[in-house]
Amino acid sequence: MRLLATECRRVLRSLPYLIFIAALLLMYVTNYRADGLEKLQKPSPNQASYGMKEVELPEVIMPVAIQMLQMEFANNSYTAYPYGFYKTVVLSEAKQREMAEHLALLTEASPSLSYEQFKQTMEQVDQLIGGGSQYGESFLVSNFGQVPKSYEDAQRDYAAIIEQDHISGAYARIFADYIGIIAGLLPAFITAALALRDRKDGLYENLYPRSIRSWRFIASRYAAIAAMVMLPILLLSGYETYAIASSYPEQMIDYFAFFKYSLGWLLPTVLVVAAASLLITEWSGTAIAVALQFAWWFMTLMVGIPFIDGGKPGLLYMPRHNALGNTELFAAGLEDFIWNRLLYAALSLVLVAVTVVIYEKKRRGMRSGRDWLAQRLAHRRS
Amino acid sequence: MGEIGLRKGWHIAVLNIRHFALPHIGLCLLLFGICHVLFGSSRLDSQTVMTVLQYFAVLTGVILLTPLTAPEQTSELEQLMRTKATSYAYVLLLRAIYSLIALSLLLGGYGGLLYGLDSAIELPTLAGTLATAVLLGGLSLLVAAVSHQVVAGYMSAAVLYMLALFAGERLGVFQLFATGKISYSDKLWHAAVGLACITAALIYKCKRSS
Repeated sequence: MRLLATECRRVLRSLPYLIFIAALLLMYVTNYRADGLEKLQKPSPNQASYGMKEVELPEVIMPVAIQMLQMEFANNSYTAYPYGFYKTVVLSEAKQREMAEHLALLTEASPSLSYEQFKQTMEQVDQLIGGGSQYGESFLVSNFGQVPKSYEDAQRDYAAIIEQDHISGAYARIFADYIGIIAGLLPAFITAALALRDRKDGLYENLYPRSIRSWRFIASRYAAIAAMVMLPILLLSGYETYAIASSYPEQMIDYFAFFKYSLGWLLPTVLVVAAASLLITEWSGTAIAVALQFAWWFMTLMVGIPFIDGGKPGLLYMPRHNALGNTELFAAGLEDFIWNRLLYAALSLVLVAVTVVIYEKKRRGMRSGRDWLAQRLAHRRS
Repeated sequence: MGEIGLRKGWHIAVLNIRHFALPHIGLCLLLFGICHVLFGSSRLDSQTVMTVLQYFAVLTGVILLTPLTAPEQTSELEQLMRTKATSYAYVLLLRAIYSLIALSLLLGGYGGLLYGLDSAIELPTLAGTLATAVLLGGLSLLVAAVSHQVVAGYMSAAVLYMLALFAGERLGVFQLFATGKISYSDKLWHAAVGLACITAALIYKCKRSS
């Protein structure tokens, strides 16, 4: 416990931790508070709009998607989002001819074309464009399956927020979505800074010969980082619970929703980010972990854009749910979500175990990746 | 003195580039390689070029400028540097100059490559990218120099990048990613603040050495 307390103090006094707190508060104020906090309104009949919903209905998707493909084919300009980024693809003549064949199949066989055949052809179209197009699996339904919500749909959504989420659950998901973006990157910096600081201060030279067990030291450090990162998140959760309770004094809210989402949703993200950074920094002795984590974070953020409305966590280590409500969508994907979170929690434990092994070997004389590389380079030069 | 001083400066710069800057220049080339794999390089339209430059190429500023003070990783090494006949401030200034030149050449070279491959790149877009790269790199360098932690420097640039992704126009002139046309006044601010940060970082380090 004393070691854990020492490590907590070291995290607390580090500049990256203060930057983390500042970034957390900025994200909370400029995004969650600014965007996600509209007050729930009970839908009333004859409203101009109730928003849109995504449906996988062949009669909705097929004609619109085929029409869009015809238009893009005529201009030889296909919009794609490889890794979430906009890109215009211009096909070669040979590929355009291949596209014409696909298009002919889609239009000429249209009356007898089954939805399965349509999806298979669209998958081939997507591959021809180079992936990430509007016709690929990720975008097909979300792009072309949008229909206006009816009054009944809106009523059902509202009832789900009141009865299943007890209001606060719906807000807690947006909270977890925004805070997850911070938790998915910045703990890597805190971890790397701490390990590199040890090296700079010559702590390893003092620590390696001591009798303290490697697993105790690594576990204490890891637990300290996870606990200190989660601390301000849990404090914000408490404040948000109070804010939601004050906004809906007449309703029965779930007082534990923010805590449940923080621990069930955000903690595995924090654990895996800290574990990956700890492992890479202990092994390499460099700050390369932050570059690798930045790349992982950025790709996940961009790949996650089609799933931003929630309900489809897939293998994203930062699941998305940037909508107030969508309770039924979230419930439909809950089992996948739980597996996703368990997977990353388990992965983080494996990474920590590997870190302990590396740390132990370093105590027995193994060189860090950095020293190994430096020696190889020096050897080549000489 | 002039010729000898120049020769000495050149010698120091070459040694620093060989020992410290080359891996970072390599990392920038790797970043351009990733851009090529993700987006291609030929016949890109202006929006794709903007995406590549604004989201990816600007990171070269952080890669090249942040580690300017990193070679002196410990205070002992920093003390050792200060005992040398050549002043530490002079070495830092040389590093800043060659890093800025390398940044301009790398971005210019990449822009030239895109242009040569028939992509819709314009000079103001490229200059704007350089300005934002200087801002991110300058901020990162300043924090790294003041805190003596290179990771804290990288983190400050990452936080600005992250906030720009999500807060957008709420960041005012520090909005990094233009959705339509590039705002020249914003880019001037980026360059000015970036250069001010680099200057402040060098002054801070020199003051500590005196």
